[in-house]
Parts: sequence; structure tokens; C-alpha cells
Amino acid sequence: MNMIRIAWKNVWNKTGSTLLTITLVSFGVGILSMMLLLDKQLSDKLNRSIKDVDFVLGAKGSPLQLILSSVYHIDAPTGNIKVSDAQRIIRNISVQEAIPLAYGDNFQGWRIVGTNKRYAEFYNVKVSNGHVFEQPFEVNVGAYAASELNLSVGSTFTSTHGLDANTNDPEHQHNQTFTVVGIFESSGTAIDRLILTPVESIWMVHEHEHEEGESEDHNEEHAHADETHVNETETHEDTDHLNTQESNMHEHSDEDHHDEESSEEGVSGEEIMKRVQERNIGMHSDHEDEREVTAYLIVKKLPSAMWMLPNAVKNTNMQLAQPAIEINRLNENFGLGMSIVKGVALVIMLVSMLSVFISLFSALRERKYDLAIMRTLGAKKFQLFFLVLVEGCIYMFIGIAFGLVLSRIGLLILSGAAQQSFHDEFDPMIFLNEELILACIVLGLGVVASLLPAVKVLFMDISKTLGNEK
Amino acid sequence: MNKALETKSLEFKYPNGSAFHFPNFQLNENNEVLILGNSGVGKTTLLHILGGLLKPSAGEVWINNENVYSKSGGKLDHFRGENIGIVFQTAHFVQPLSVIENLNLTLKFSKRKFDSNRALELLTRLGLQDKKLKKPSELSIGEQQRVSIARALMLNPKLILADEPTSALDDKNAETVLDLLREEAKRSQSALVIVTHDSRLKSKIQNTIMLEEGMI
Repeated sequence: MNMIRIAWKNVWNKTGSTLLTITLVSFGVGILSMMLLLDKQLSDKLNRSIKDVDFVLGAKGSPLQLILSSVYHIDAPTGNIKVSDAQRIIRNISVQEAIPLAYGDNFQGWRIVGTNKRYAEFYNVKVSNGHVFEQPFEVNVGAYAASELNLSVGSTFTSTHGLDANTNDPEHQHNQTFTVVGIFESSGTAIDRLILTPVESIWMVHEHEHEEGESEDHNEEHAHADETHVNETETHEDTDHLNTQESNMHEHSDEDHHDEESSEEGVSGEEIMKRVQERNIGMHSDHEDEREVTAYLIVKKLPSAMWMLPNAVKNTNMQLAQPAIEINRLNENFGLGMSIVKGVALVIMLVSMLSVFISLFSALRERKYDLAIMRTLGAKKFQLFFLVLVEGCIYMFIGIAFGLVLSRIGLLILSGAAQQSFHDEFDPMIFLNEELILACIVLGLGVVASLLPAVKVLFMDISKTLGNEK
Repeated sequence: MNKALETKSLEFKYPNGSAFHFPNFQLNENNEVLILGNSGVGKTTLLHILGGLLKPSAGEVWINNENVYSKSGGKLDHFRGENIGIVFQTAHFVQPLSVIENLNLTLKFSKRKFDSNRALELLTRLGLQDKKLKKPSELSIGEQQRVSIARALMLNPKLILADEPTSALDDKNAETVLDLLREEAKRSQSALVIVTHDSRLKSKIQNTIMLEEGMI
């Protein structure tokens, strides 16, 4: 019969208040530990995905959105930029390398990214099964996407326009078939949940559409275009409907083009002249000029890139975003929300401390005879002091254990949600040093909460306690 | 015969001003004494002083040839645990523990090595062996008092102090408990001091000390 066993029995003598106290402790610990786990895993993922990317070149818009979409692949892209425009920025002595990223299609909600071989190499992600794509319409699939989509080397699929799954919507279905030629190893980077294909695949899908769109605008070519279309989509019965949709869409994008061009003209006439000359000389074919990508990931070679590139982007319809800065900003904004949750968790912790204190204190009043009797049996003051402290720690120990389990259950649920919306997941089975520190602090709080009741035991007058009964 | 208990000019003053002066007496091993008196004459105060629970304002208590109040703190606690068994008017226990665990608790606070069968042996003798796994609160008052006697006997103490051990009991239970107390005290060679105002006990024990208010 040791003191810890007595303490344990004492704790469970009042099941109701004990359960309440433990529940409070576990919620406090659970929320805090979940925040730690989330914070750690999110920032790890972000940092792994940023790697050495110094800049992201993309369409004007929110720089954070550009970073999230093209580095972490979770937000919608800001728009597209012309390859020809981007080349003028990228061909700079201060740039080590620029990797193109082109969005536009998805397969069952998983993003297909047009890029080149360097993208995977840059993140040190190797193909574990099959080979790296060579031809347009060959794809490499990230480990996680492959397992979720049941894709393996040799699988084929057709893509859907846009970034979200719209598989029920036949109007957005393309006819090009992609073939899986390789599966990436699991890496913990965004590549895990991407489908990579040569950028040309995306161009070919969309050039084809563009031609169709153009032909809708020009009446004299209408008949011809319709013919081609019918040939290509023989199986579709509602071809007319499809055409209308597409022409609407492209009218819209044509308007956008006008805006962009007019702003460009307004800003720099010389630039336009140069481009016209280039075109006349034949440096760029018309097609190449129309080619678009969503973003370039840029790695600098020289420090001068830090001012040369931003300068070069000025007065264009493009922007240059720095991942490090944007993620910092995100952390600051996110941090505010985090600190509110942290505050709530701390309040819960304080309430649970109070609850430990109250249950020990009120139990003391009922147990004063128990304690006095133990003294008459030869128990020393400090043994009883220790007994009360141990009881306080037992509440905390159980609370901490449940809290850590709770946070993992929470993370599992959150992981399920993240899987649905970002095709990403969190690992609930890791244990952080920070959690150990958290546990120690909570245990310390338990000791502090039980200190006053324990001290009260030290000064208990046994004679008075046992003599008062008459 | 060894002296088990001796008191020397014990006095006690309460902060509120009331003061007691207690008569000197001594008790040998195996002897018993009944301390009688009306309420308010300091019977419980004397018992607590004898039991090492309350330090007297003046005077000495010698138990087993040791001056009790020359010890303090943990030493006094330990001495009390080993040498004095106390039975209170109302039996108090460590509530969450079973009857047998409550008895074995005395071993926990003692450094003496004891037979772990001692508790069961005592319970069997008191007819409580089938109650050993019950919580004390599940027992009747009479049974609780018997368990508290068993607890007082666990370490074969030199001195057994009983504070109104029968006042909460009916005649039949009172007799059983008193007989048990005397019999077990004899068996373990302990001196027995019973403090009471219960006149039912007077016929049983001849050796009595009368506390009176005039002693102040």
C-alpha cells in the first residue's frame, strides 16, 4: 500500500468532480497540443515547398494567392502570363533558373500541372516507378495522388477543365488522353498531390480550344470550324450547346486580353514596337506568342536579382512575389487566429487548474478525518502533503494523456477535411518536443494548484479535528 | 511489571482561557483504567495529550519509558504510530480504502516489519473476516467500531487509548466492544485507558480516575 495508490483511490472516490476536472485539463491540453502539431506540420510543409524558390513570377493579383497557388498548390492561380512576356524577365544574368508552371486542367479534382523535368528535380523528388515524362500527354503522378486516384504506370485518363472536380459536367471534359508513365516517390512536398505533365500538353489542349473559340468569332470560318469540331467530338450529341458555352467563355477572355494589351500600350509604346519587329523578323511564331503559363518559379544566381527582377517587372501586367515574405505575412495573419485559439486554450487550462484546486480543497474538508486518522496512525505531515500533491498530479497526468489523444483525434478529423479540400493530410502520430514541454508545464500547474490544499494539510490540527465531533 | 504509562503534573490551557490540571497517574502493562467525568472536564483533552496528539502546556507524558513530548515532528508521529493505538468515539477511516487496506495502512507508516497476515487474523478474531473487502462506510456502526479496535491493535501497541468507544452504541454492542477491547489489550499486553462518561462501563472496570471541574 503506497501513497500513490492511496492518492489514486482518493481521486476516484469522487468520480463526478474528478471526471469534470480531467475533462477540462484534457480539453486545454488537447487544443494546445493540436495547435502545436498543426503549426509544426503546416510550416514544415510550407518550408519544404518553398525550398530555394526566391521569386514567383505570375499574373498581377494577390501575391499571397500567387505563392499559395504556385508553390503550395492550394489556392486558385491569379491568372496566366504570356511566355513571351515572362521570357524578357527571366532572361537575366541574375537568374539561375526558372521553372514554368501551367495550370488549367484537373483529373477528379487533382491538379494537372504543366511544367518541365526540372520541377521534380528541383524538389529532389524522384520517380520511383516508371520514368520521367518525355512527350506531351505523358504524366508523372505524385505518390499520394496516385494512391488516392488508383493510378499506376500505364493508366490513362481524360482531364477536366478548371482546377476543381466537375466530372459530372460534360461541357468541361476534354478529349485528350493522358498516360501515366511514372509515379513519384513520397516526398512531403506539394508534388505528392500533383499530376505533372510537360507544359506543352497544357498548351496543346488549350490552343486547340482557342482555335475553336476564334473560329466562333469569325463567321466566314464558322462552317469549317464546326466541321472539325463535329469530327472530333462525334460522340457528343449536344455539340451546339458545347460550342455556345465555349464561345461565351472565350469572348470573355478576349475582353481580358484587350484590357491587358491596352494597358501595355498605354505604358510603353516602344515595347510594343519591339515586339512587332520581333514578330516580323520571325523570332516568335504567332503560336509561341500566344502561349501562356501560370507562373515561373525563379531561383536567383546573383544577389542583384533582388532589385533587377522587380525593376524589370514594373510596368508589366505581371508581378514578382517572394515566397519567404508572403509566408511570413501569412503566418502573421494566421498567427492572430492561432493566438485567439491559444488564448481560449489557456483560459480552459486556468479553469481546469481552478477545478483541480477546488476539488482538492473541497475534498479536504470532507477528508479531514481521513487525514487526521492517518496522522494518528503515524503518518508524517510531509507524507500527507505529498499525498495531496500526488492527487493533484494524477488529475493532470490523466488530463494530459487524454489531451494528447484528443489532439490526435482532432488532427485526424482535420486531416480528413484537408484531404477533401486540399488533397493534403496531417500525420497525427508524431510526437513533438514542444508537447513534452507542454506536459511538463501542465504538470507544474497541477502542482501549483494543489500546493495550497497541501499546505493546509501541513497545518492541520489533529486534536481539534478529532475532538470537534462532540 | 513495566510501566507503560506515567503522567507528571499535566496542564493544558486553551487560548480561550479555560485551563485544566490533570492528576498524576501511572499504569503498568496489562493494566486498565477508566477515566470518568462529566462533559467539559477535559477528558478528550487528556486523551489527546496521552496519545501524542496535543502538546500539554506543562508536565510530561512517559510511555514505555520514553518522554513523549521530548520528541517532535516526524519522530513524534512515528512514535505514536508504533506505540499508541487510539479508538475514537466515531470510527474514522480512509474512506476510499477497503477494511483490510485500512488496517494495513498502519504497517505503511511503521518501520517495524510485521506479518502481513496480522490484519486478517485480527478481523477473523473480531468476526469480520467476510467484511475485509468492504468499504468502511458499508459497515454498521458497531462493525466500524470493531474495525477501529482491530486497527488500534495492529502493531501491538504499548498503550491503547479509547475515547468514548461505546457512547454511540446500544447496550449489546457496547458490551461486545468493551469486552473485545479488554480482551485484545490483555492478549497484546497493552495498557488500556478508556475515557468515558458512559456509566455502563463502571461496573466492568474497577480501576477508575474521576476528573472533576475542581481540578482547575
